[in-house]
Amino acid sequence: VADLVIIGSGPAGVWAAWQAARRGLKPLILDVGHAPGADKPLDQNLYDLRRQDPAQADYLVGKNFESLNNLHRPYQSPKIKSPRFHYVTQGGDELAPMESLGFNATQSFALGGLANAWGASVYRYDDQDLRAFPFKSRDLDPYYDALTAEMGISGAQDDLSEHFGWKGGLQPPLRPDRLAARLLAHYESYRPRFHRRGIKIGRPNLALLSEKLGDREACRYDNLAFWQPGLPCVYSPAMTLATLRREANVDYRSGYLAESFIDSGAQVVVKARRLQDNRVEEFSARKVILAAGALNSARIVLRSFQDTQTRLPLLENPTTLTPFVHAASIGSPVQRESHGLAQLNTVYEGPDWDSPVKGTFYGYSSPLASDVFRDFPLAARGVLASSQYLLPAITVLQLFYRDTPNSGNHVYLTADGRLATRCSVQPRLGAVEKHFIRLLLRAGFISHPRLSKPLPAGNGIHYAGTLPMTEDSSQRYRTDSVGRLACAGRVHVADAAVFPELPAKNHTFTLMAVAMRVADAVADELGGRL
Amino acid sequence: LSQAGPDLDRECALLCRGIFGLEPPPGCVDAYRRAHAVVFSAAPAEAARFTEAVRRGWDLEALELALRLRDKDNALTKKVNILFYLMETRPEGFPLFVNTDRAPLRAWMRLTAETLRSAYKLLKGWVLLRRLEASRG
Repeated sequence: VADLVIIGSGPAGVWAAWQAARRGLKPLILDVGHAPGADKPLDQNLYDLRRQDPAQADYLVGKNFESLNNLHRPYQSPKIKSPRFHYVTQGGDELAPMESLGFNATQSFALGGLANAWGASVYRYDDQDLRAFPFKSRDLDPYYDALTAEMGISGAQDDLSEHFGWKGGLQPPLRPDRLAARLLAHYESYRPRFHRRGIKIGRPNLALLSEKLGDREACRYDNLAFWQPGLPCVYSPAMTLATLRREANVDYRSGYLAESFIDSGAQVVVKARRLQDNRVEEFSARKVILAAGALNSARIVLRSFQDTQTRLPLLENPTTLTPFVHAASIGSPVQRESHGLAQLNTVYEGPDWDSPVKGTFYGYSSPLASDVFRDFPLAARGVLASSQYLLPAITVLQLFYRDTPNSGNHVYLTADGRLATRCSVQPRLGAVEKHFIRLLLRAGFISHPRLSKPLPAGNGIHYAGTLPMTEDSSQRYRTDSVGRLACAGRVHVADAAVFPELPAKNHTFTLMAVAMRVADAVADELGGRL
Repeated sequence: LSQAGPDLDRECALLCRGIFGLEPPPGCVDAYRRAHAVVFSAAPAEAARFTEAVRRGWDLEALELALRLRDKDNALTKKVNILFYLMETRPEGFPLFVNTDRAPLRAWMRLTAETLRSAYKLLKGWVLLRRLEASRG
């Protein structure tokens, strides 16, 4: 009987394991664990490769045409569908089939989980963000601090620091691209005008190194973040797991798909299918931490109780994308030196939304122009000209909104064992975008409300809330403040499933901190060292 | 119901010449065939709907624009998009897709010209679309 079994190796599983190991436990991690291919790493600037490399289609389009995914399959973001990132979502349909009812979910069974392909944006939740959680931001601070030191986070002290909770411990901010620098300069010149409309703009906090950290090199501004997994400068939980394994602090078993558990009161038995031969193996433990992601943890719980009746809540940040063209930059050369991730952050706090709206500005230097071919209202040759002259002048604002539980959005287990995701309630968005469109026009950034598009449900990938931390006793599958399932006291949930609400800020950093907190509580109960 | 190889080759060459002003670079036609098989694996009949337009040598760029503005998930737009991916990711395509100089005047002139050309192509595309739909009854 193991002390602790952790299911999943995404950000929650890895940081629960890290904290448990720090407390003297040696958790057993069960994971499917798809790993990246053994391709030769890309080691030049993307644009040098595109200019010269006759084999570039292998990694930009893919030997199996992975980049063409959006022409014949449900939408995936440019990074998720990038050929070398294919392993991140590999096998999802077969391992954990889903029934999508207006909610197109992305799943990962990769070592390191979906965070292998994340945008690396990190935010600390404040008490307003945590208003529905059974703890305060000060309870997460020690975990946030430990994460910051281990991961390496770059950013600046600026107008957004109070919103994102950074007080120090950051590497210097990364160099913004040309358009972001212009926008930031304009904002700094006309700050009161923005503040009157409830808008603040600042540098992003990214788990992306601007300086060397240990044996990890700093960012090279080579535009490869969309094309090369495992860049040392971009933090991934797979790095932490590698360290834990190297130091023999965990027992990591890949090739296992956890399917259900039985909590007998004295111990928990996890049933996991060994994918090599499809045989079901049982693992006994004193405690189990579910960290398979908000959807898969819900699936495991419902399967464990063979429950096809209960509807579990489902949260995801409603999201919009609004492109802006900087007229004076039309005809500028491509931004050859960029890291390709978030360039600027923004927050809206005003009368047009009842909670803070968080936004990020991205450039368009890393994805392929072909990804947006169908969005241009010009003949194909006109799209070609736009690719040359217009794309380097485009910045895209992505706005994220808080999500709270509602009866229209839920998941449940179907009779044939699939997880059904239903989304029938989407908020009406657009008012906040209009503020940005009006304000940015004065800086020469042109857009129109009709260009602002909501992302279809499920495409935001920030899923949460299926097994929420709540005192609502009508919910059988609620969890307490340390993630303990109400219906199975030896099982704790450590991923975003426990979020009772989903604030507008990207939740990855916080779900890591919550996982550490849950692991701490489990270690307390198992008698781990202090 | 699926498209025959020679039809696909002709289609690829026609699109390449019409849009990029080039003969298909080496390997492009083969890649187009393979990508086409992947994208249209579930709907081969959909892919074959434009075979007649290819055989008649119609202006596929115009037809595609008219179709795209009506429904951006139509088969012809997917075909053109496939070719865009293939051309964008080969060295020959680099200067067609990427601007490496500061050239605002050239950019504005080219974009203005392409906007006017697109208006003309759209009108032409609507006419072709009506002919295509009429021929299908």
